[in-house]
Amino acid sequence: MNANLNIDPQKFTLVGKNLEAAQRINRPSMSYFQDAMRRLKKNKVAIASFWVLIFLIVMSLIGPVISYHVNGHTYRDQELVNKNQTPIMSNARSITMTANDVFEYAKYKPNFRKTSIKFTGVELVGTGEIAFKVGSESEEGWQGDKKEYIVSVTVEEGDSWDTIIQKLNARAEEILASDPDFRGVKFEKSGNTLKITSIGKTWFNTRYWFGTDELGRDMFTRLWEGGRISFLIAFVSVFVTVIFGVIYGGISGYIGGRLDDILMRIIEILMTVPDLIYTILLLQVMKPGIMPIIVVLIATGWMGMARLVRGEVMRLKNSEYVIASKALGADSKRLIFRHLIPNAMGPIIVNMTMMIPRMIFAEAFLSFIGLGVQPPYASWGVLANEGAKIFRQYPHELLFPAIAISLTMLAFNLLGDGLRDALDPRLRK
Amino acid sequence: MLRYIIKRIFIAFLTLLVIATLTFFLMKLIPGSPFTNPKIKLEIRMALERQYGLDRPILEQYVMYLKNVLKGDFGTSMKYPGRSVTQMILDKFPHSFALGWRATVFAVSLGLFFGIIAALNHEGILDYLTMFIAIVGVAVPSIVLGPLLAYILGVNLGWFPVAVDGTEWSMVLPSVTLGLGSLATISRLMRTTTLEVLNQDYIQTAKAKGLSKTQIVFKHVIRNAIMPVITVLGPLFAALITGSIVIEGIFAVPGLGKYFVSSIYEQDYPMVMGITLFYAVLIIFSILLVDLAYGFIDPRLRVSSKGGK
Repeated sequence: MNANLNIDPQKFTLVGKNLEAAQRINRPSMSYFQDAMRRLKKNKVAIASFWVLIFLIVMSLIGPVISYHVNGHTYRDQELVNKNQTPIMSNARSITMTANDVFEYAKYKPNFRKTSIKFTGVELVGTGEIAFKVGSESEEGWQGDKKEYIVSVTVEEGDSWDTIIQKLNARAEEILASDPDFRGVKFEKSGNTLKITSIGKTWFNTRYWFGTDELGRDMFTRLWEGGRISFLIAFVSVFVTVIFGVIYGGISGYIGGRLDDILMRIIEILMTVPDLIYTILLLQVMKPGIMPIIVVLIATGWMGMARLVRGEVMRLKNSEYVIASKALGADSKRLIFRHLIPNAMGPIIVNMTMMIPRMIFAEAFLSFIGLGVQPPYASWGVLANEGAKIFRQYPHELLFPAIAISLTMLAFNLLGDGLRDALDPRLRK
Repeated sequence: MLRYIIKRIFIAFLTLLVIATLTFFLMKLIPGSPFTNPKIKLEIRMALERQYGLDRPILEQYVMYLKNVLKGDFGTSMKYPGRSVTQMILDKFPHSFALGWRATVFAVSLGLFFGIIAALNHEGILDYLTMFIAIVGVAVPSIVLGPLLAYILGVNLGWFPVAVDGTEWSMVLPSVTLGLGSLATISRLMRTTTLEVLNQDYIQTAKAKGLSKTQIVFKHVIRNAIMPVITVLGPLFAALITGSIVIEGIFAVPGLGKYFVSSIYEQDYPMVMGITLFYAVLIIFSILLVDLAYGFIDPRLRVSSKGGK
């Protein structure tokens, strides 16, 4: 120990407490929702889904307007002469074989619109006529003309495949020379395969961007008009469901006791009844339309929401800060609106996001079995149903509504997942 | 345990009573009766109504209806007089059931398999691949998937028949379409529970004991992870039954669902109500059965509100 150590106390001064520095908050304060949004923004999949949904909703709003102003279409205008047009058109003519005394074949395969046909395993068996009918009907939904041509040659003794093909091609060129509208047909043979292709050009359908349906209505307009109805049904029914669920579940959870028991038993029984069953029952009683569908979707959807809200309220009711608030003299109104509802909002929002695709799907399902939106109105379910009927001939009529429905379902599900992770980090997997 | 079973069965019957009551009174709300045809003379109509008990007070009719339903008599068709609803259900349901059990087997077996594979390969290629299939299964509704599969695999590639003709091969497409959504649900759930189980202490212990990976997976992981999945089987079966209503239309299955839809179009009310009630019975009892089975399998959760739907 150094006894000589001598520190002069005068060298030190008391700084005192710096109250200001102790109270200062270094980072900006963040509310619960700001924090959640910050977390959500980090989730790229959820943000991408969000923008996809914005795109779909905006297109639903402005799509019909655009197509009305550019092309003059509305969702209900029919032009039967232009029915079943495809988005990409072609004026290649269809080919059908009308006479054949010459060859046998193992398999015959036309392409989608019969603008090209293929015979496999061909074999020469005799002499006589080969004839093909060209362009009897414009299978591709192109209504340019109704002209018909017959390419016919007579095969004589001694003809080989080469000479037959030559004759056929020569005949086709003769027709083309006399009438340029014929546009030409090409005959080819390689190995044991005979291939016949009609020549034409393809172009985008500038008048009907997504083609037309079987009544000649513009698919582009109908798709977005359908989006309007599908989104309207989903949003309205989810919104009402939430309000009803919050009131029912809130009362049940907040008051508790005997009332809670009764209210929950009612829900339990109603939830055991399969949704579809009383959806169909209710729609049998009401006339199908947009309003009845919304009513039915609410009637089947509110129980889950009420249960969720009740659970949240029960949990929050007994949390420390609510008890503290109560001890400080807060009344029920303040407790409910200041503490319970805002804190239960997270799970409610997540549930809403997950409910919207379910509602869209339920609407599509009802429209599919004929209990949904009635013509000439269109929803995505109606469009999918109409498209599915003639899918094999005109796939575009199913393809567009199918993409729209699938994309919406996918985006809402992914956004819901992202929101759940953001709003309740404890649930993160 | 016994109390739980009795309570569950009681609630199931109560639900059925509610459905039967709803069905009856909704049916009465619908305007018209089977005999409001102007061609039928008044006295004949009165006689017919007397025969079917339609002239009695509504409460008496209700009691009669309940009695008939208990006996398994759902009434007769309005569009095809003389054809009983019960007979129709017995005729058509086997076709739907044939589709339903195949879809269930497909969804459950592949769903469990996918879920386990994904969890064991956590954040690997197999995980992303199976979860991609699951997402597609959730996002693509069967009304889209059905025609798509029929077109690509049936028409274009010609691998499967597009309409059901009684052969096993023709059941593939409808079963896959019907089961894919449920497959997605099961595989996602199985993946989550498997991941949870893999983090448990007893798995560490098993590893420390020197058990092989197969032993751990089969004896410890799967057995524990599969428990929560069993709870969704009831609602899943319900979804498969109602889902087949659409599938049967797409693939021309001569089942109850297709007939149900045509009854709706034809406004054959007794038929719609009868089939509705039949579906309800089927769904409620399958859920009940799964719940009871779960009570037996997992002793921890004997009495719990989570047991239900």
